[in-house]
Amino acid sequence: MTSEGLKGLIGKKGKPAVHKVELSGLRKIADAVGNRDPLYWDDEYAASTRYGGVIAPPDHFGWPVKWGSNLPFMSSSDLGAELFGTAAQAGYVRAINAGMESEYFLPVRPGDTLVISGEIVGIEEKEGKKGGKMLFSTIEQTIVNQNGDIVAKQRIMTIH
Amino acid sequence: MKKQIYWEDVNIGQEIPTLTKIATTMMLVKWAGAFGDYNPLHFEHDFAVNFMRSPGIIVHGTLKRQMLIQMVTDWIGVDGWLQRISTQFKGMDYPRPMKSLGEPLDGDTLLCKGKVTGKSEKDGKHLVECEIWMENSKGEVTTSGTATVILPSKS
Repeated sequence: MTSEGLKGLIGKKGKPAVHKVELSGLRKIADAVGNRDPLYWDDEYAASTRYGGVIAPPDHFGWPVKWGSNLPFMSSSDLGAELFGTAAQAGYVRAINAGMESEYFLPVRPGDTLVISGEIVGIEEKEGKKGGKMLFSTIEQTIVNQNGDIVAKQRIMTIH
Repeated sequence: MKKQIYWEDVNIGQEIPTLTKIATTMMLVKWAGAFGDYNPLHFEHDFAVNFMRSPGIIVHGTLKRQMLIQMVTDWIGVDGWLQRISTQFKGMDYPRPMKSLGEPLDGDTLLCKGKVTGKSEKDGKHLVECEIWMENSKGEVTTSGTATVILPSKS
């Protein structure tokens, strides 16, 4: 049975986080994975494509404009901190990314200001294979740009 | 520039060209900084073993996912659009330590693979469904998932 504190997390919404997208930030993503696609690296080439300029690789939604201090995850909102904190209080001190699902509706471009809103949509305790309990959580995020258009939706599944 | 692939060129069962990646400890540090995931599980051996109870440092799920994303976007080209991707991180992958400043030690090589499972037209969009996965050097699938892409049409 899921403890009361954990169950109370379902439906909880985080304070929307404002992110700014920058050219150097999106290039660090492409650099780290070793992606030399000129769409990320060559301004002139990118301008000649249907996008009319450099766009961000999928999953890059810029960096927070405000000091968040929710280490170890830059991208985690106060919602993520609350989820991990409550899980830790319930004895789940470890956490590992179990999976992610995204839908991408529009390109993300340097200069974009994105607002990321999260909601905890799933909390479930299960018996682990080796005995002991495991906690499964799902956060759903909607990412909206400065024009009010939804650029992406993401679901992040964590095993605690 | 690479040749653009069109919806008409794609058949069910067709394989996506394999993308080969070597994850190194250096790459994981770069990814930690670029993506903003500073979990020491990905760069501190003793923490990985003692606190996370992992056999060692592991590759970020988000990095493995970005490798699979690159496999798909390389394949669909600039006129294709990755509409949806779902990834499940089923098994651990371990980075190769560095031998020199530019070269890693021997170790695992990660293969990003995929194949076409469906084709459809919806609201004027030409869609292709794919199964995607990552294999380690032992042939074990450590990440699996699905993707939907929109391809340009010749019609």
